[in-house]
Amino acid sequence: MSAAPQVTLESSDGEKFKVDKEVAERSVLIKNMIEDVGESDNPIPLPNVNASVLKKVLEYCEHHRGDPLPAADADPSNDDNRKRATEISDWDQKFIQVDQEMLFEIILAANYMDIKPLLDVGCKTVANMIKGKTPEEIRKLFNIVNDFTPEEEAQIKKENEWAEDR
Amino acid sequence: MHSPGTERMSTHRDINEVLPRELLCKIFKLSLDPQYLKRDRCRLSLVCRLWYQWVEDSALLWTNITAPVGLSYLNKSFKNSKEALLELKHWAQSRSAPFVSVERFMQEASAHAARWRSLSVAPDSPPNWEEVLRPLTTQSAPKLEVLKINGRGMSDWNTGRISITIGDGTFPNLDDVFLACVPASVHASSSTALRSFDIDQIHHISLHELVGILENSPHLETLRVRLCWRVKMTGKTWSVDSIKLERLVHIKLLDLDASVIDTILSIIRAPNCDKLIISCAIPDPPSHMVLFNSSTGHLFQRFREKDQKRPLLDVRVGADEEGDEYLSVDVGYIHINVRVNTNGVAQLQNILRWIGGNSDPEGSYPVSLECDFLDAGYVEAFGPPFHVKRIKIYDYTQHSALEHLSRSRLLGSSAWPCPQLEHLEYDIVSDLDSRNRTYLLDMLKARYGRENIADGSGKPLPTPLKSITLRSEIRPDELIRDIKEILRDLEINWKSPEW
Repeated sequence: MSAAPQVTLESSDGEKFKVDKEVAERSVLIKNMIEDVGESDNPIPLPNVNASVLKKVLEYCEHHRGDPLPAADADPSNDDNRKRATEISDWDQKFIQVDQEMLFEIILAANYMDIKPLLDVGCKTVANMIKGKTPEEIRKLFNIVNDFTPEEEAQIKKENEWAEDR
Repeated sequence: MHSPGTERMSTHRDINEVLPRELLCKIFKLSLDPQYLKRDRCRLSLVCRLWYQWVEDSALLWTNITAPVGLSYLNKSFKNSKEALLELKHWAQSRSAPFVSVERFMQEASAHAARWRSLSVAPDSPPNWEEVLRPLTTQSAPKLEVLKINGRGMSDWNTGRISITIGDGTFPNLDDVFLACVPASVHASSSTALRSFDIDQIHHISLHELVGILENSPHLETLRVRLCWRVKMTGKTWSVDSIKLERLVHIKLLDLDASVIDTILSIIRAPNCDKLIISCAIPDPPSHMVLFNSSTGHLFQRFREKDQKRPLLDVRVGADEEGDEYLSVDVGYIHINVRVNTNGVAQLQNILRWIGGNSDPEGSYPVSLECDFLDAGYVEAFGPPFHVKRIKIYDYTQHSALEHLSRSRLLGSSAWPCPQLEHLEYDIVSDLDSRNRTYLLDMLKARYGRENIADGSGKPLPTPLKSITLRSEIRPDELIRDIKEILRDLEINWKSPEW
């Protein structure tokens, strides 16, 4: 039995990761690079992803290696996709239980490497953190400075009829 | 208190410095609860100036437009959604806050018909239907995919007939239609993109229009038509070439005339049908009753493939709350429920012929028969390839059924009714009186008693009974003992009533 073809990825801090091509190709960016360059022993550079994040991303790709690839234009807000939009599988939930810094780094890496399902998991996780929180709680959670004056804040509430309607 | 420029409250990096706008807007979208869009958008807007600006500027956060909201907010939503496709929803909610009426909602939405992707309306009070439906009769919506209007309890049948035309010229991408209790007709002027067509109490649509929609909807996957008064035969012979609907898998024709159901099932060809549900009243006498004729054999295409599994034929005979007799037959993916008057047994035979005639000629179907009440004819209706394996009866069931099961001994016939009966369930609804008990015990003795086995007549014996299940509030110990005296090794189960 012949071994599965492999590729080498190189993180921004120079660490190399040898992985099955099938796993690496969960990333549309890498898949396109391999198609463009052809088979090569040279490592594929990923200058926007450091080793600790790349390791985590590859853990995700390895677990989901056999999953069907998502449609490029799938809109999670569509009715058909809404159920998927609100769900995170048990494994993904455990996987994404990381500190906030790492969570953001995973989202950025997924976006850069074009791994839509991972990007969705990351964004849904942040969205779930926002749900049900007051503006003040959101600021605190994400370390955002309140730069509104009281008058501005009152004006926005008025515009949105905050108390009157939903 | 507010203090612009206050120190950051945690050691995390500001999310705005880490994630680009594009990703934050994606997160905003995912954080919106469709039930509370306005509240959630406002909450995001109040976090900081940047978020306020992004919420206002991001068209995708404004594409779900739902009532109840005030008119100004409704128009703000249309404006902020820019050129994006819209999901419109005016759904009944009991609220005291002022909001836009459904008529006004539709009027405002009408100007944006070119951007409609879905339109979902359910008035909470009887509306002016002409105003509500006007945009659907005067506008085309080239991007509209989903149209749902639920007017249950809100219909005014005195409204003039409003005609909605679907198809290439008006709604070329409309693939999902649900209309309930809407005083309108629907017809297809040309090819449609319909995948699902579901109408309930649409009394203005005619059979001609319905067939026209079927003819023009080759992508149809789900068809449900329920209780539409004008969908009926007009007396003249229906002449339409067969309509090929290769993708049609779910068919529900409910509370329609039997002749209409027959017409629809006869003129379509749905070889991939995977669910067929029919309910209708059978006229009495059924002089023009042609339901379940040979033209409907295409519905059995997948049934024949699955026939190897020998699906159970589940037959129930009973009476509904109004005392009308009904007959329910489930086999595989086919579910038939007919209200019958005096011809129930004939209808059962008709259905059995239909199923038997369209199935593997060498097939054999186990039958489960539940009789709320019956005459012996229901038991007699089953012959090869249908073999009754299980019977459930009630103590108020006419005793003729039990007598019939004893018939071989009583009448000296050479064949036993239901010779393959293996399981009997007997529900003791009322107090078990001695007469009912006697009928049951006599039947068991007649079919399975030792004296019967030893009578030396050489007549073929019925298959040995495997179990009896008795259902009653109180365990009927005396009856169990009497049964044991007849059938010593029989498995006897006692269970509480199911209701």
